[in-house]
Amino acid sequence: MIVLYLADNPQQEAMIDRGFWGNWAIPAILFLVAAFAILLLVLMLRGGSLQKTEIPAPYV
Amino acid sequence: MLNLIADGMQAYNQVGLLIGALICLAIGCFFFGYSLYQRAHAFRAMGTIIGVICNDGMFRPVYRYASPDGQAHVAKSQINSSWVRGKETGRVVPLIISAGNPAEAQEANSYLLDIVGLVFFACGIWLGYIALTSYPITLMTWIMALALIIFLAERGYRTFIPKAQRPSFAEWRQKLKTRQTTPIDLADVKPIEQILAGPDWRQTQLRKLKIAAPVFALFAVILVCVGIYQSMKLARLESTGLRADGEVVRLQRESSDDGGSVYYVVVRFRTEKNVSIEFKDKVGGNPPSHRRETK
Repeated sequence: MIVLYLADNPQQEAMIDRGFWGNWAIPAILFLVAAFAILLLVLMLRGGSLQKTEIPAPYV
Repeated sequence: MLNLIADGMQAYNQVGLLIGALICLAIGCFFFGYSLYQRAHAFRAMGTIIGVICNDGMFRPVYRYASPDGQAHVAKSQINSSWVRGKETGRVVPLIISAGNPAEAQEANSYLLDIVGLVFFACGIWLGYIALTSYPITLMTWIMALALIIFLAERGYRTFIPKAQRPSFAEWRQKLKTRQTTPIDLADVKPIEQILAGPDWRQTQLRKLKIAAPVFALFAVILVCVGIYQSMKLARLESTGLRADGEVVRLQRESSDDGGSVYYVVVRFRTEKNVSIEFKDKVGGNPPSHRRETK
């Protein structure tokens, strides 16, 4: 396996090099879950405000 | 002896994963197959939402539609949810009506069942892949599979209703038919607008929102902060870091939050100054993602 490390601090700053997709998978998953949480939050707030202020008019 | 216990635990994990995979695949096939069957065999018509049946905060739309012979029918949706949008009274929707039961329908443009089925199917494939690629299939696997099947069969037998109390197939079908042909009580059907305008509903929703919104916001902020920190660290490593050959020297077992075990690989490598460094990888797993190896 390939190890990726910082020359000035190899003990603390080293990781297994899993390639581009493998290395960036964790930050990407974190951002995706955060985006999902934000989406749910927005939907909740929109739903809450919709119910507070207006009731959808029935279709004719 | 220790090897036997370790092999047994490994086989137990493997068989457990395989059983989980089979259950997920079965659920996925059921949902997806049912949806496909409905789409192939049910008849289609345009319907109008006349209201919803509200039960514990869940809304089940009720439709009025005309069958091909011109007769008017009322059908309730097979799916209920707390989702408000799309359930407006008077809204015209394309329907798929169950061939065996004209009182049940689902919206033709709803793919919820298909998605749920596909998610379960994908989980089943993933679990099966892990079970078959992360562990070797040994004699212990077969012994453990047999033992688990006997255990599950015994448990299943215990939960069965005794034969004397068990309804016959004809009784069961009759019961199902009665349930299916029970007409919808229109007194339970109310316009969603009326329910949403009620003070109880509004207060409940606002109370839920006051609790849930800050939790979601905090969760999202924490995730974004951790994501940014990880990204910066990784970007620095990728831009200024060096690469070297490494080898797995051992697996470090740690207890996980759910009481199980997580394995982390400990890797050894030599820096450009020929200094030997060992570090524990930050990504753990069970089964372990690597085995001990030689360079």
